Amino acid sequence: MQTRMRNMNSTRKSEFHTLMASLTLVALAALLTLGLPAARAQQDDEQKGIDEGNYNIKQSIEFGGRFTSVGGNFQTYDTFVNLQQGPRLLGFTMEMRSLDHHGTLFDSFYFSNFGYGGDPNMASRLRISKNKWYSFNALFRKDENFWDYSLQANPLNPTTPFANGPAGYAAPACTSCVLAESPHAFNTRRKLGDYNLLLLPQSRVRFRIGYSRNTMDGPVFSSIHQGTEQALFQDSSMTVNTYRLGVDFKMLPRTNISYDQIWNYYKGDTGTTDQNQNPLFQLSNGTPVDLGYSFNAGASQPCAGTFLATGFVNPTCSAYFSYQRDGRIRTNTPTEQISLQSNYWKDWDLSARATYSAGDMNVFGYDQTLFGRESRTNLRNDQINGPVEGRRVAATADFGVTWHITSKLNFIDSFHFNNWHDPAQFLSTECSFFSANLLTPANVFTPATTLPATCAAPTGTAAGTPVHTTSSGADVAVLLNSNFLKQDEKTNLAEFEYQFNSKMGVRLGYRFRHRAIADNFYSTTDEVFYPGPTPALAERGACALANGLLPTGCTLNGDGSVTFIVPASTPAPADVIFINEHAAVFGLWFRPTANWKISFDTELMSADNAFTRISPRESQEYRVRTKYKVTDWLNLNGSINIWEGRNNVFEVNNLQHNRAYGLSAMFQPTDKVGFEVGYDYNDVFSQILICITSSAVPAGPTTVGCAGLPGLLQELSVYTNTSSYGYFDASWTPIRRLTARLGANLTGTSGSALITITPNAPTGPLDSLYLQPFGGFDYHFGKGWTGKAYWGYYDYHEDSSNVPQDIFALRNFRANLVTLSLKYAF
Amino acid sequence: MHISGVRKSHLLPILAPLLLTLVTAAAATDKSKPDAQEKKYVRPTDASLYVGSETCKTCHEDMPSKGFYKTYEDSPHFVTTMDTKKGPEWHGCEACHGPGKAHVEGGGDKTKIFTFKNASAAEISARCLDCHQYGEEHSNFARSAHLQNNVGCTDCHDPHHAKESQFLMKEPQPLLCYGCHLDKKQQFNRPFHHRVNEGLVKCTDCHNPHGGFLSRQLRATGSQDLVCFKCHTDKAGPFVYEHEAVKIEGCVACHIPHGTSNPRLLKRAQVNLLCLECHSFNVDQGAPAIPTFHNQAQKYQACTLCHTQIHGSNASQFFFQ
Repeated sequence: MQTRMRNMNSTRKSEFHTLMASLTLVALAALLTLGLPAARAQQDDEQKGIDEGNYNIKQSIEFGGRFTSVGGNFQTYDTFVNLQQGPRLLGFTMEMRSLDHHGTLFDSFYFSNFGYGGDPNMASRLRISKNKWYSFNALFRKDENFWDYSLQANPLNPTTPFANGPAGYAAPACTSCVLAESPHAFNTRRKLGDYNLLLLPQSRVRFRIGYSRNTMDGPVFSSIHQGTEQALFQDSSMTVNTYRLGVDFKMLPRTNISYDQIWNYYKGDTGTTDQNQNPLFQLSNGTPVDLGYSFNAGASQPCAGTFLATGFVNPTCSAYFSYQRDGRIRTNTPTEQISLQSNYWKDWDLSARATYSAGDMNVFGYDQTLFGRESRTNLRNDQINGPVEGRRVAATADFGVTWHITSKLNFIDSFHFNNWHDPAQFLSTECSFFSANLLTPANVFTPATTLPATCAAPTGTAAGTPVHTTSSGADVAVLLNSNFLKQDEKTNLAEFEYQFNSKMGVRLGYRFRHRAIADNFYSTTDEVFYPGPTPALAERGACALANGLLPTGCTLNGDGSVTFIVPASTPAPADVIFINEHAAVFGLWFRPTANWKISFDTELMSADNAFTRISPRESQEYRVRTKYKVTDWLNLNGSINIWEGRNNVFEVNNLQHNRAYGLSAMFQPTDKVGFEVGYDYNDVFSQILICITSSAVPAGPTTVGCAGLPGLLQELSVYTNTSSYGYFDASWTPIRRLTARLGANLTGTSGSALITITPNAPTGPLDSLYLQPFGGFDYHFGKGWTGKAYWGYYDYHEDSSNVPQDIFALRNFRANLVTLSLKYAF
Repeated sequence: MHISGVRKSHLLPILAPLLLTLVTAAAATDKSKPDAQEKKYVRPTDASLYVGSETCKTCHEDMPSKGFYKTYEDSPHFVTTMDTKKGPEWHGCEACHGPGKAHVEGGGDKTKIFTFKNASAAEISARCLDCHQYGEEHSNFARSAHLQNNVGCTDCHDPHHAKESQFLMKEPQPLLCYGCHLDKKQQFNRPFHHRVNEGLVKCTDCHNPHGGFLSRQLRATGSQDLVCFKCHTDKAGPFVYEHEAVKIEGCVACHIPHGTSNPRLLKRAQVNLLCLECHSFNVDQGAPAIPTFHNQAQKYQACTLCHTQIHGSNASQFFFQ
């Protein structure tokens, strides 16, 4: 597992001596270049281009390479930065403009690219237009998304050794128990393309055609809970195609009416398997098994006596031999949209939009097959398949109006309506087979009764009586689970806006928001419980005897099996939650001088209900922003953003705030020197009552139980996260040819959380530094030619809290990144 | 409305300088010059009032800066001079600055023509929107948070000296946005962030700076779902078993979309502390509490190790698969 992600990432990092050798070569090349007769250098910002035919053409290309040296945790570096060594097309732009604005095919052409050759982020932008006829925009982006932050989904296994365990798991310490990589890691590539064509842009009737494509694919590591937490490998694959046709009508004076038809097609084809049969974990017959991610000998995880005295895996443990899950998700969502903008009536500005969307979701060929063991139920083979289908129906309506009452007074109203519902159901057929342990194949019962589904016996099984436990599920089950979720939302914001003069304005308003949230559930059940190992064990699960009698719906069959049927019935009335929010909004802006702007706005909200415990019933937000151009060479910016919220009802006691204070200054005394510096302080706080169970917090005289939840204790979870961010960016052009730059982005985070309930948990990001200094220079050594050399340093450091497993899972890294390039522009 | 949770000490340093500046600004209002505010921009249609861009060029070819007229000639706005259907009030320099005849006859009298420098954001925007209002992108600007805070078109766009040719922006994103939204700059420099600084994602991919019908000027997908699902479509569903908070409260119920020091852009550094904030006590909304065997001192603190399909599942009510 430790090498799995390195093998996936084919570009590896060089040692620093390779970097030095490369720098030496570049330095020699630079010296040679400087020795050449040099034409007078051009400034970048005076790129005039060349006139060719009817076009002015400008191009630039920047080609170079990156050199990296990484120390520490490579996975964290790849997760945060992921800039690897190698040649790069750092940038290419081409711009063409018709000189007489009457080009043959186009009047304006713009094409730009960056990041090609191996950077994790790369993009191309294309814009072509011909006056009055068309405008075409294309954007293609590719994103390499590597993720392996070791604390994510990590069970934080202790180093308690396993008796009889293999090397690394046995005394003196289970060092192999500590997961230095995240069980949930991925290395995916996302490609996003957006293409839009506008025809006849200046005519009364315009046509729009759009296409977007979004794909994501790549390997993903995940897990599944089945007795223990087995490792899964997913070959993720997702594709979304969106088509858009639209038409704009400007037939009425100062009015535009648009119609859009949108089709969205989503395809999800991710396959899942279990490939973690660790050769260290074998049964006595030599078969390797996957014991999962959770190893805690003191807590009997994955099971009590995981390893026998022979060193083989205890065959009564939960484990997988194999696992497979597939299903083709297809979602088709057409949407119709009509919109209107008009200021036809004097003093009134109107805009409106209405949409209707009705999408269908289907999962074709859903199939889950597992072969292994779940010890609690004696499950050995299991197969689930069946159709999944759902809908998403959404209707929205928006209306906005500005009434210019006087030259200084406006009335503004915005109304938003959104009603959506998501019914979806899964009609599953499940066939289950049971045995006493991993070494013993399942026995297959031959029923005489009519079954709701036909189950094929897996290979290696034999006729006989299955070995169930009282916790075993049905042997054959056909289940229909249907869920419904809906939200109806109406929001109206009404404001008066008064502009005293060009220096000051104020607004005051009221917003009301009403939401109705409903969910419901419907199901049918048709199950058969086989007997075995005793006849009485057919009476289990939903058909466990109650006062010696079978429950309603259960029927004892002649062959000893029990059938349980829950017929279709009228669903109970839906649970509906109503939430009404009232908010006062106030804003003030003023401009004391032509070069100084200040704005202040606040929102005070109160609601009569909340959907989640962390949704505020009351909140206040205050925002102040100011921009001040003190002199031609000094600009100051400041902002304060305070958000406070609370849901401090009984058994919640939730208080939250997020406060950010920032200040920046930009000095530009001459066009040769510039300096920007800034600082931002962010303070996040939350407290809320939670119900937990933790062996680190045993029940005692000072603990409080959670009402109605026996076995759980009440704790006040307090979370703080304070972050200081400072930056500076200086540039200096001592001579016309040379521009030097030096800067840094520095973030320090500290905080606290209720980790006493999880003593193994490191503070992680709550005690971290992320430092990113950088520097470099541009040198214009010839007409259109610029040599660039930039250095970037990345230092991420979490202070260990001396938790044992963190010794093996430190997420710190330091990296030097040097980028050398040549740019030619004309 | 009772204000609580905000200590009075926070309000005073915020309000006091504001009130002081307000009084100063009110006192400093130039009462000698009547504010030339317009209720709405009404374009004069008398053709005799217009002189044409070539006339403007005679003085403004290199004024106020060298190559000034050339930059306008190279910009998309120049195409207005080639319009053959509309009157001169829609053409060239005078389409924005208004009729130029009085200005020319006055020897370049600045008071005889509209200048953007000292105009309010509302006045400036009214002129721009007279052409650009139609279309989903700009139709809500009059009600936008930007204009309501006196941020007008020319605070972000520069028709004459644009550094970013697309949309004639003063600065490229995100540098332009950081100029006012300083708190967002610090978020995007946190370890876990959307790739805005890297150039992969732009602020305008998620937000419409010209306003919209949704809060925070957020965009939406074509089917009016959360804008997050444009890229993260696999989380959109619909699912048989929904994680209801995702659909009802949105992705921001658990995530901080700009950037944070917490992995997966979560609001809390440890996943279990986030989950337990809702999954505690059996409240009406139905988020069940954890079972008693979920010992938080053991593997159960890694909620998503088992509950992997946390955004919704078609096969498991516990989001196991």
